[in-house]
Amino acid sequence: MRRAAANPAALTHAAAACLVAATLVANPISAPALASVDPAPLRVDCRGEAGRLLATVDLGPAVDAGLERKLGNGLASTVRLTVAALDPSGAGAGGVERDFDVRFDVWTETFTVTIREPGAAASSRTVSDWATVRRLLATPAPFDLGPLAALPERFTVEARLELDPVTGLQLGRTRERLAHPAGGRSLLGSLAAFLLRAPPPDAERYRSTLLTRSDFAGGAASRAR
Amino acid sequence: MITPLATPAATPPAPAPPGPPPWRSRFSMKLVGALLLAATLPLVPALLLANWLADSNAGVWLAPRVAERLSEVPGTYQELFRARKALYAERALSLARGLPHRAAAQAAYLERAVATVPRLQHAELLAADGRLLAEAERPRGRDEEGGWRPVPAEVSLPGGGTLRATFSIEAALFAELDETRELAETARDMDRARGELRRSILLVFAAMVSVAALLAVLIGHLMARRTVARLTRLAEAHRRVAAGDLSARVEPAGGGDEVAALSEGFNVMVEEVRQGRDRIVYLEKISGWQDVARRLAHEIKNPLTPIQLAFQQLEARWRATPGGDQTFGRLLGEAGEIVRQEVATLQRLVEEFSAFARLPDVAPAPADLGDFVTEFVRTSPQLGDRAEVTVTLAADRIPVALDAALMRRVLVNLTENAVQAAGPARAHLHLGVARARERAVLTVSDEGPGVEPALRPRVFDPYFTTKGDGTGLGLAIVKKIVLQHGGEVELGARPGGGACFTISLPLAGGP
Ligand SMILES: Nc1ncnc2c1ncn2[C@@H]1O[C@H](COP(=O)(O)OP(=O)(O)OP(=O)(O)O)[C@@H](O)[C@H]1O
Ligand SMILES: [Mg+2]
Repeated sequence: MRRAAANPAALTHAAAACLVAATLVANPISAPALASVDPAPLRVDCRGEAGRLLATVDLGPAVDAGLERKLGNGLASTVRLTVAALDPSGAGAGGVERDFDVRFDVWTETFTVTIREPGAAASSRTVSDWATVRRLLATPAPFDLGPLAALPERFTVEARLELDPVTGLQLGRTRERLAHPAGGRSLLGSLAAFLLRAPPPDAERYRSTLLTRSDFAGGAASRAR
Repeated sequence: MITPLATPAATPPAPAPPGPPPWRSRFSMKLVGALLLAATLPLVPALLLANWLADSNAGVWLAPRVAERLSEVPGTYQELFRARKALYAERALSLARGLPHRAAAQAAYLERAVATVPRLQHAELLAADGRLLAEAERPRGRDEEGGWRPVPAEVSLPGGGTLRATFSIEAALFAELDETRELAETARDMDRARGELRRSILLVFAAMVSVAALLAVLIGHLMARRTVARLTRLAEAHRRVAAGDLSARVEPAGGGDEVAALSEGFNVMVEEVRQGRDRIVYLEKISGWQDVARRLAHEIKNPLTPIQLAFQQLEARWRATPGGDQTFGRLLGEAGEIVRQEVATLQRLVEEFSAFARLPDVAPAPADLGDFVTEFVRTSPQLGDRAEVTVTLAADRIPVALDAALMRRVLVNLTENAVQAAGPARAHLHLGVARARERAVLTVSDEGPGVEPALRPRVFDPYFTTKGDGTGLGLAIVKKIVLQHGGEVELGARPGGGACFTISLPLAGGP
């Protein structure tokens, strides 16, 4: 019986393999086609200041009637704006992230915009017209993209605009909802909550033309389309 | 062929070949493979179903349309609020229009207004310079239950001054709005994470199913292991039998399934093979001894006649010469007696030996065992003289094929032994005929001393005897005849003392 006794491990592995295969067949957990769409052109004003690159992006084309409708629907929304300097191939991580929490109050008919950026105090404004909100979003204050020296010689600036990104807080709330459906606690729900991942970001991307680092060395300003 | 004499029943089993035989691993692999297939195959439709369920659930609860419609609800409230605000502005305006010019009447007008205009909570009249001219407040009453929010409405009066009216709107509307908003936000979040939710729910399902499958495989494996173990034991016994060990048996444990039946069949088969082989070995042994008996009889018989003749001549010569030595004559007479006696004994021995050697082959004929035994007792009057004989017959007929003459010899030898065992006392003999397990059974038992168990296996050996004048051939002949009938003979003990010989013969033809 030695042989037979040696089999369960192999067996379990085979079962697991079968299961994974079946899961993959039955459940096309497709990683969303990330970055399959070419980025739209971005207008950006760059400026060297004290050896750092400051970028002022123009997101006019992004802040359109569709966004107005979404932000004016009375729900609390967040527009996450990420600006990054990338090397010509499009590689390069990080970037500066700025969140605009926008909420339209249907009673007072005013927008409250809170701007949050890591490392800076949040600022909040209540305005009564979309035009102001649009201005805040389309021409945000310059982004500090870090020391010029750290940039490649030729680079592009990319802006990513994401509406209602799934934040850790929201993910936590969703997990809570899964684990405690209808008040009680569910074991399977807890398991599902445990396995729940953040969805991949779904952002609109805008990218500038190629810029040259040395252009900004002397505190020069440059505009790229 | 005398060689088999020395060796009793079995040749020693050949050593088993080492290591597991190749079939064993292949068999358990096949079994486990089948189990694996059986356990995993249902998972595919189950997973498809789970996928569909997850999809349809997500479709109902997490449809983008749900989130979309919900997000439009605050806009509806906005419309409602606007309508309310317009309505209140309208009421404030008409209130201003009806305002009396006389300052004295204005306070009373406002008092009346707060009492009659619906939802008007408070009204105040301000002069152009901001001075309060008149004011009225609706008494707190039934309208206020459930909570209210103030809605101010201002009208500038033509002659300068302001009418400031405060209406109320249900706070519940705002609570509803907040709740709806939260719900809409939740739906939106869920909608964003929909793909991930589906994935995690499916993973949970997959995990559950894997646990179930694993359990199934584990249990199946344990069960298979038992069956494989039993088959292994069976195969092991097969190998031992193939190697010549006919004592190999398998425990047919396992509750009446095919493997148990197989084991049982195997045991029966091996037992039959063993009996067949024992029979052949015994018959070979006997035929060897018959050879010896024939030669011995021949060698002894030949000199007996010359001895007798020589002695007769000697006596004749003595009688022909009268007046001889009387002492010698007496001596010769005694010697002659001894020689005649011994020669007679030797002649009897020779007769028995050659009878044993010439034992004829069995020529069976159909008969009823009960009839045969009754007939034997009836035609053996000398038996009745020396023993009390009881015969127990079966209710129905027991057809057998037997050689009546040889079978009679069997009964003679057995009853003879019983009578001898009883000594001088009268023997008590029991003859029984029965049918047991598809065999005809004949028992011969007595109430004598019996045979002690240690000696029992040897009593059928030729020349085994405990009697001074015995040849030890009686039971050997019995066994040979019984075996040639296709039967077996066994010696046991009679309950209550005595020997019990059991002869079982195959039944002949139909009932
Ligand atoms: N009914 C019996 N009761 C007790 N012992 C018996 C009985 N039958 C046989 N035996 C024992 O078995 C031995 C062998 O018997 P078997 O008939 O072969 O030879 P025997 O009787 O000794 O010699 P023979 O048959 O030539 O007179 C006997 O010597 C006796 O010891
Ligand atoms: Mg005898």
